Amino acid sequence: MFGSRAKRRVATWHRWLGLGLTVPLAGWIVSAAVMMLVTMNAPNGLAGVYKLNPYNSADVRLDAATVDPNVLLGKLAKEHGIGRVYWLRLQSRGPHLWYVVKPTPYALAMVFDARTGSRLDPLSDDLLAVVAGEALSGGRVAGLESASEYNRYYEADRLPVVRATIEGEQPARLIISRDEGRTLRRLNAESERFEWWYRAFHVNQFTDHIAVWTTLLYVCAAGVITLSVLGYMLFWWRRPRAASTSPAGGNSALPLRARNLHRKLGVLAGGILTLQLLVGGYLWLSLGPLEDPFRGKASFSTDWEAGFTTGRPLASPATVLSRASAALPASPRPVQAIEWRVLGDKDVWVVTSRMDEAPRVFDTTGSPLATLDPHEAGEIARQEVVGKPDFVYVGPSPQLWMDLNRPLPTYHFRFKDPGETDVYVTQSTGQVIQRRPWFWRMFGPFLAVHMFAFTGNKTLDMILLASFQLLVLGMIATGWRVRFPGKDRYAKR
Amino acid sequence: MRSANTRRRRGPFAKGDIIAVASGALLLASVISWLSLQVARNVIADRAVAAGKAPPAEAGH
Repeated sequence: MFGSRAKRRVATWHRWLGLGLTVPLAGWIVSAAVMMLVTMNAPNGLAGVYKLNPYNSADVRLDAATVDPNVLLGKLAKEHGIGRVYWLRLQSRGPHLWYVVKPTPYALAMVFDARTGSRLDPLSDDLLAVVAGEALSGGRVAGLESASEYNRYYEADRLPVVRATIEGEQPARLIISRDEGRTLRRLNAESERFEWWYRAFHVNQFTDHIAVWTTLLYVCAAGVITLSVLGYMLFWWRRPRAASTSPAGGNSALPLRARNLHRKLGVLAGGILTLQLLVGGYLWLSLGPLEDPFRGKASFSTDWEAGFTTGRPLASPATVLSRASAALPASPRPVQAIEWRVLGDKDVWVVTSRMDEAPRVFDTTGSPLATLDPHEAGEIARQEVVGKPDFVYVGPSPQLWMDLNRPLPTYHFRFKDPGETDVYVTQSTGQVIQRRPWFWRMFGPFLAVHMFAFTGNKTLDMILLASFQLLVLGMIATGWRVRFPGKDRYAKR
Repeated sequence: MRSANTRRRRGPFAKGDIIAVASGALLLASVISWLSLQVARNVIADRAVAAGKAPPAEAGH
């Protein structure tokens, strides 16, 4: 089937592919080791542990807002053509008082000064510095850098953000959205190191041009798979003559021990390496080019009509505070935020006393509301799922809410949308905080294979992974040794 | 002729290679089997959750 010329050509291709792909292959192996070591003892994984600031730096009473919420709604309708909003929030940030308007559950928010009515978003660096400085307990802002960021909660592909460097008690980098100053991610030293190695050496994403870098990544992966297949072909053709015998021709000068070791390591690790590249390619498809459906964005309803109309009368901040105050815990500081919302057919006020705790929900008489009924929560979530399909209630489940960096009690539903999406809705506020389509749910076993998480025993899994990595690094090193024998070449002669 | 004789005497693989070949095949087969089993279990568990017959498996990534 293959003549001697074809076999020589295969050997040449194997040699040059191996040399050319050394950098990406070694990069994948080394970055995997670094990422594993970085996260090995990190409490709470990449999410990290943070003490959030419970209060704003300045005491500003929310009833000091001179713009009435109804006036703001009128302005939204008249000047921005908005007839319906998801929620309206009044909050203090440093010395400022803001109204934040969420037009739909997946839209960027709009921010208005609650004293003048002027529009503030996208927020300036000065305002974002105030937000960043108040985010973590004992933190101060050392610098801001504009960037863009993917986020699962927004229909926009990339959000304008700032990366704020925080110094003080909890050094960190915060990714803060420019629309309303929401903290989208927090990076500590470990997670920042992880991200650097992951982006630069594991998935080779050097800029936001995902199509370009993904093409390069997949070309490299395909090259290594080809390299592996060619290696197996060479091994098969040369199987009767191990490197201990010198075949006729130029190979006699090569360091035989290296060649022997290279073919043994190759035949041992090449199959697993090929499988890892195929699995890694699938994983990156989910986390890269197909991240929208993976994160459940394909289940966003396109005809959302819940929330409330901009013609709906809202209680003033003073009314909300006076009615809800009796049920709020005693606090030395003013209420931090009031949110006007509709849950099902009920007008509610979502009141935040501390920014590091989940808010409390009140009806318009000021009575605190117990948790939602699962069916009620499911109906609220149905408005936010494409096609408003039927659903099955699965059960209660705690889910991480990035805004508070802690799990919240949620109800878990399975919707009959095209993605068979699992939707998690907070039991108190009816907020959809997690979407996990079928595509996402099938990810786990592949990730486990990619991370060598076979046994459930972290130490044993690490030993298995490290062994595989050493085999591959050994294969690379011996491959180079075979190609560049150095002094051995002359010694043989 | 000499080469063919040598091949017959040595068997299909050079001495020492057989362990590497067997180990590589065993490793690959183990990993593929493990992955197939996990995917099958995942699919079955996922269907059971939708049918209300099993608690959901929680994981995060």
